[in-house]
Amino acid sequence: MKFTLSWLKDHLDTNASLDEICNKLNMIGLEVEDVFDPSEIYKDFTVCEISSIKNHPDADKLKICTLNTVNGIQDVVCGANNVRIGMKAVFAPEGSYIPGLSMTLQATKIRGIKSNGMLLSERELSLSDEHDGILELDPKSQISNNIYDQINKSDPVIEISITPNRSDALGVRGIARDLSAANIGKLKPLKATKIISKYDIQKEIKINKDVESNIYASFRLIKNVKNCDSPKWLKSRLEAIGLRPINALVDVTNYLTYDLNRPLHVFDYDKINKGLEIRKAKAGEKILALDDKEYELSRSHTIFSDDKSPESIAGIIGGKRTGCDNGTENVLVESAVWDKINIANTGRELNINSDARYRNERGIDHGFNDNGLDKAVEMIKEICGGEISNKKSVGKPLNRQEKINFNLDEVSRLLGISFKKSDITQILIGLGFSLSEKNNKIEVTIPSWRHDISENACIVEEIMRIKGTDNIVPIPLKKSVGVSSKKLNRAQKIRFNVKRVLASRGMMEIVSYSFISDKIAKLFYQVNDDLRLLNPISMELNVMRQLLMPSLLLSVKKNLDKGQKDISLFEISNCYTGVNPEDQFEFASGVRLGKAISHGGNNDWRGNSRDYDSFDAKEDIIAILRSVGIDDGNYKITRDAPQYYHPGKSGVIRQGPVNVLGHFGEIHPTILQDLDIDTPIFAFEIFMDKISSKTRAKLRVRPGFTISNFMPVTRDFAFVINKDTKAEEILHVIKRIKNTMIEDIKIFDIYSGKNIPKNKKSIGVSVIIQPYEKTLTDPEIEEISKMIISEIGNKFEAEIRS
Amino acid sequence: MSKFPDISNLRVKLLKEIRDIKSLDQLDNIRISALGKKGAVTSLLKNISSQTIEVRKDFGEQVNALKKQITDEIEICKSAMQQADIAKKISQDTIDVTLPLTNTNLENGKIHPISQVTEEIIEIFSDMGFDIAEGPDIEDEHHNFNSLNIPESHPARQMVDTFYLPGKDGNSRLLRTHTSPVQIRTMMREEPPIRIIAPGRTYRSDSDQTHTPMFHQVEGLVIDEDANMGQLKWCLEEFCKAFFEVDNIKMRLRPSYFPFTEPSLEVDIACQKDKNRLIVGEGTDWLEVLGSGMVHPQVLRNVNLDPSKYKGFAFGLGIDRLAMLKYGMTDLRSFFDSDLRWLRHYGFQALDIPSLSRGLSE
Repeated sequence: MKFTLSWLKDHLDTNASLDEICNKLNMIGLEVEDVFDPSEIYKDFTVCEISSIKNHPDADKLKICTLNTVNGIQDVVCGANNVRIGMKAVFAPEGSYIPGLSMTLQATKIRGIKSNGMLLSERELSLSDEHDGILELDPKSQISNNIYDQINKSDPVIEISITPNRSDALGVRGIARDLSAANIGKLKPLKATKIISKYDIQKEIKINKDVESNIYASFRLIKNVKNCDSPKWLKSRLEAIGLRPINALVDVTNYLTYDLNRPLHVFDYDKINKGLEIRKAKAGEKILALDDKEYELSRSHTIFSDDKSPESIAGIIGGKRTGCDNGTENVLVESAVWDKINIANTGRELNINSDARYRNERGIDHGFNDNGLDKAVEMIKEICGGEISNKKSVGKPLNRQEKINFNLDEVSRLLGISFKKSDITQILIGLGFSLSEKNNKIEVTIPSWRHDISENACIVEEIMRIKGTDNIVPIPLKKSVGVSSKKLNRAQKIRFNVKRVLASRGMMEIVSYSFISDKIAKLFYQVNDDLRLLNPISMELNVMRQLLMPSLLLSVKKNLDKGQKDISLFEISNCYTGVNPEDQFEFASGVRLGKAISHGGNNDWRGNSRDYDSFDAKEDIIAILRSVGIDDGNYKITRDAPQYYHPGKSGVIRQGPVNVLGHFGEIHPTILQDLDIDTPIFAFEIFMDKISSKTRAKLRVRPGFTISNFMPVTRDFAFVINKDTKAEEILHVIKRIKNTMIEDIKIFDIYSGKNIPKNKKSIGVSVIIQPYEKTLTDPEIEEISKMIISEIGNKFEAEIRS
Repeated sequence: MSKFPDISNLRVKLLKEIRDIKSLDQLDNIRISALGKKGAVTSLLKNISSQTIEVRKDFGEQVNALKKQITDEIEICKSAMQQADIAKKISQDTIDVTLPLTNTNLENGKIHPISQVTEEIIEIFSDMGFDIAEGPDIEDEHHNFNSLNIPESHPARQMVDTFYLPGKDGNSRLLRTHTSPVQIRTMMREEPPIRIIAPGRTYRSDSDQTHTPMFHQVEGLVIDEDANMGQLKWCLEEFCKAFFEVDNIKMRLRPSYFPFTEPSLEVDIACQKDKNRLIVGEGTDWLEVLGSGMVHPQVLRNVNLDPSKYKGFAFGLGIDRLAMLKYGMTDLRSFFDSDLRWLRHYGFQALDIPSLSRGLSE
């Protein structure tokens, strides 16, 4: 909503400065978005006269103009073709800010000649888009500092954003009313209209029963008007707020839309066939509207129609055929109250955003409908002449007088402070409420222009915003007595911890969109059609993701394309199996590729660098499991990872036959080929909800612990064993040997090749034996060794390697 | 004087030999030849008992003194040789201590600013007694709009561009446009008093330098019999001071409009530009940081709470925006670009865990 300061002052008697007014607007809920203050913007510019013109020695199209300015003689280099001696123009000195170019003018040499400033075009002054030559001022204007009157720009323009509840502030008068209630001046009374009318409208105007019952429309005809250009004051006001003047009839309706928030429509009476009817459109009916677009209507749309065709989409946009032009002689002016919901739905269905729709769907002042009509016809008659008809109305006038019993205690109950009763009543009266008092309750009648007041809380808001939020005193929230208790649940705590476990392992956390492209998704899984967005922002982001892995791999690809090589990324976020709340689950997922960066990445002078492999991904997943208390013995690893993993280099972490905690391994080469990535990627994913719901916090009190005073003994064994025997099984057999002194088992070597049969491998196992009662003797150690060798030998046909 | 063998020649000989040695091996040979089982001094010691009573004592003392002297000399010489050996070795054994090292894992891995700032916010609000609630990203119109007093025809529905999904079982489905539906879910589930914040992902169909189709919000909700606007103001002032880590903050509460609060407020904080740095908390410019208000009585009725008994306040703030203001990022889109260079620059180390007692970021 835009208006100028002088326009506001038509309605508001005030001495407040522009700054004071803008501050107050902000503080009463009418947020100032922009202020265009010519006295600020144009303060450096002056009126000058061109006293001589020379050609630029080094450029055909440039001229050197000598100027008489208030600051003496100045030379500027100018490329405009309309400069001539004696011409008055706008001079911008060095250091001044040029609004149309959004830049500050620096002293420059143009092709070797110093230019002490600039002569400005309309575009450079932000007056219009005109840039064909510099702006020529009235030859009678004086060389002076005052350019405002010369360029007809002395009136500051204020733009405020209006929240959807405040339809009453979509007119300048409504804004003035608010300011006056807030003690910025006094609201001027609206000049009463005096309509002298002598005849009735001949053509029939009727309303069909099929439209909404709360519609009310009034009309007056003005005969023998002379449609013309609007007067200068009207044009410049419309231009100031960015509207293009068209002709007086149209301009008056636009003006009153902004001035009094009174949308109107003017029909060319002579173009109406027989009469007008307000009715529901027939399915498929078409109308060419004033925006030159054709709209296909449906049964739910309310329209004006004459004997032939739809002539206006009621309350939204007029029809082209009956629109007013310079040839209009008889004009029918319409002022109406429409059904807000129907306007909103119709506007949305037809995708029309007009000033009329904007106001009518928010609600206009139904109490002012006929006065608004009279204002319009009076103004038209003033500009275009003509004779005004008697008023014709159809539908039911709204004489609604909504009342609320307002309990004064609600102010302190909601705001935490109390105000004087007289202050409260003064504010409400200033806003146009009428009050009648009973005990501590006030019966408040809501003004017809307010559609946002439905209960006590709404009235408290009015008092708060006009009184000022500065009056609200901070009141501390009650704190629990004593030390506060923990606030995160286990899932939340685990989420935050796991992020830091992974980051401390050298992985970079990413946050990627929850939607991905179905094309990429299909490489990984069957897309659930319930998860397709109906209105995606692009085809790259059109399905809610069911896995994090595609997002991570796309992020890898982006980074590879930017020259990054050694990459470790993770994300912890929600994925979706369906659209119900219980279908949302949390994944932690990570990928690694390139050289292990913690070992120096690609260029380590210590020669420590190595490639990442599947075991780095396994290490990541196990680090997570250990961090939540799932120790190595508490899960099994199987080989049946999802199909986007390399089948031979991946694993599944399971607890029991059905409960899968996560997957890890190398990403399947065909997926990488599809994504155009030529480096192997090692990945993991873990179901966060499962690890938090299946585990409990560790016991605070630790189990007892005995420290041995005796040296541990380490014995190494190398077994030659079938190639497909799993390491886990060997460890498991040794662990099950009933000897409490076996403290730890490690695999230190895997070998196949020379000296080992083809279908076999050699596996080196290191067993740590920790005595607690006495130092072990050689025979005792030998006995344990024999036990290990025979157990492994029996279970796996293993031989000890010589 | 009784006679016993003269040992002074032996002493002189041994001391000379010790003085002349070239290596530790030679020294060891001397030790063996003198003090070994068959060594010269050892054989003298064995000889003591064969001396006459008269001289035995003197002789014994002299031999023992010799043994001690030779032992000491060998030790001193050995120690000197060893020192010399080490000195020689290390004089040739140097490293270039200026060689640079690569980053460790702790430096390579970073926490995303959104996670960090979310934890900072949680840290502050949990100190004020708020619990952390969460809700689904895929919502329905009931929770996202209707219960929040935004019926279908309401112009406020045009304030946001909603992403829609096909819907299920006759129910609409959409991506939540704000974290406010968590208010509804919490009030349906729990009895007052309620004090929660709800951080999470939110979605609107929008994309430019300061808008992305996905972004993050934190919702706050307090429901109690005595909740009021004064508490809301206190709560937001305390939050802003703690979050921006300043002692004072100039704030402005601007009346505004949200369908689910009445009265509604937008909160601006003062700021100023100092060269390219934004100083928050003072200055003549204003930055909008959050929206808030008293919970609309209709919203309370929608969740079966009696507005004459219970009141509440609610607020919503943009996590990404707060991160940008606090840490100086300028383009929201880069938060979701996964660019390693950006993440290295703006990310946080794993051990930088936000904590009020240690200081949130300092």
